[in-house]
Amino acid sequence: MNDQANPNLTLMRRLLPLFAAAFLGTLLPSTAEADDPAFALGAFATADNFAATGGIEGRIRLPHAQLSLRAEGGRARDAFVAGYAVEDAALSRVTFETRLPAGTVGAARFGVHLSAGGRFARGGVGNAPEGPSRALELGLGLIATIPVRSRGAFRAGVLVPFSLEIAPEVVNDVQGALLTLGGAVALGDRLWLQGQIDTGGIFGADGDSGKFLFRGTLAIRGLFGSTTRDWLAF
Amino acid sequence: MTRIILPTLMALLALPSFAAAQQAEPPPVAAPFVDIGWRVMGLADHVSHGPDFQVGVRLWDHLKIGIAGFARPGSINPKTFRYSLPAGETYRGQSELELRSDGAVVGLLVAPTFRVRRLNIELPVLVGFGAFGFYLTGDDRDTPDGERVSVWENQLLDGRDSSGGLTLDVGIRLSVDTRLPYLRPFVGFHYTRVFGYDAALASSYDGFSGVVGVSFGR
Repeated sequence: MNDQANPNLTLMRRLLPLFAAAFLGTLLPSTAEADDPAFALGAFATADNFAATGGIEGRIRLPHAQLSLRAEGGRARDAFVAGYAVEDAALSRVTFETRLPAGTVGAARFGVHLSAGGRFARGGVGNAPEGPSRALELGLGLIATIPVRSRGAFRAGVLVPFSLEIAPEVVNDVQGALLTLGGAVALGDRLWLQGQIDTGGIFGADGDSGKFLFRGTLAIRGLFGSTTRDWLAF
Repeated sequence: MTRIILPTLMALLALPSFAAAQQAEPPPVAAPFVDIGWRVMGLADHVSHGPDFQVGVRLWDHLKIGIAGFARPGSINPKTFRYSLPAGETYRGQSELELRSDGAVVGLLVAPTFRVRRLNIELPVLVGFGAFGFYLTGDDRDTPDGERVSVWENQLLDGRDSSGGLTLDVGIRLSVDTRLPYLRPFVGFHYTRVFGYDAALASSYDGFSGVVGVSFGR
């Protein structure tokens, strides 16, 4: 495979520094008033029109950023490998996400979401080339979070997913834009319950991959060294 | 799908009634916004629907700049388009194909805005890229030789299963202020032109569309 001639890899090389800069930016000393880091651990379940997965998540809130690491696994009723549809594949995913504040309007707080991770699929039944599927996933989003009374929050925004399958073949298999709507309610001082729906058109692999995504996510997060109020910021 | 989307939008519109009222603030030089909605489109001489978004920054309270787009997913638009294969040619024993269509537009947004009392008037102009295509659906996606579907679509439609090009989308959106300074429901009316579009089943994907949604931010 001639990487130099592959436009997908060239695009990835251009995008990766953006994510690296965003990550490193969150590590810089903050000029904001003192705000101790807060930690959260959670579990989540996700189902969409292709797959159902479950996973765990660790999250840290710094004065000017939230960082999270998620690991999930499940089954895909339908998956796409090198542009071929396959059925009943094992699916796993690791995602690192950074959330950066992007301003406020009244009580509405806006955050830029940047994510990068890997997606792995194996065992699907179909005509795809032999071997597991590995893909690099990137995400960009702008989301508004609105406190609802003192123990809830409403979220709305836009997510831009991008996926580049790198094995068994190099294929840009997902691009698109998703509307996201969600809410969170505090079940106590240290417990969040969150739900989210993402939907929109997705495209890729010259039309051979998924064409529409409707995804629901339910998550529960336990907080350490902080209370639910501290997590309304962005 | 409608059972989920409509109640969600209605819940959004009802949000002001149970959220805390906010104090009016002087307009900042720059403030973020996220507009999400749903379009009903009359593109390519048929009715379809799909998600719509605008995100970016509103400058001096009178100019929105950012990124905008909309999609016409084929999966939620059941309309099919009939294509007759050349004489003597068949696909899975059929001489006529029923194809679905999908596509999207994304681009840069510039939208002058102004207010008349509680009414916000916005004139969005999107310049970007749009692509729409036609694809095999249902059992027809199981190709006779197991090859990728796109390979057969290209072959059957002589490489003209989709088309795209520079796209201009202009419109007008009206929104009303609510008790919450960061939340406004809106309606809009748009015209879309995809320059140079020419696919086997449509020589144009231009047309009018309406949009309803909610704007967060300024």
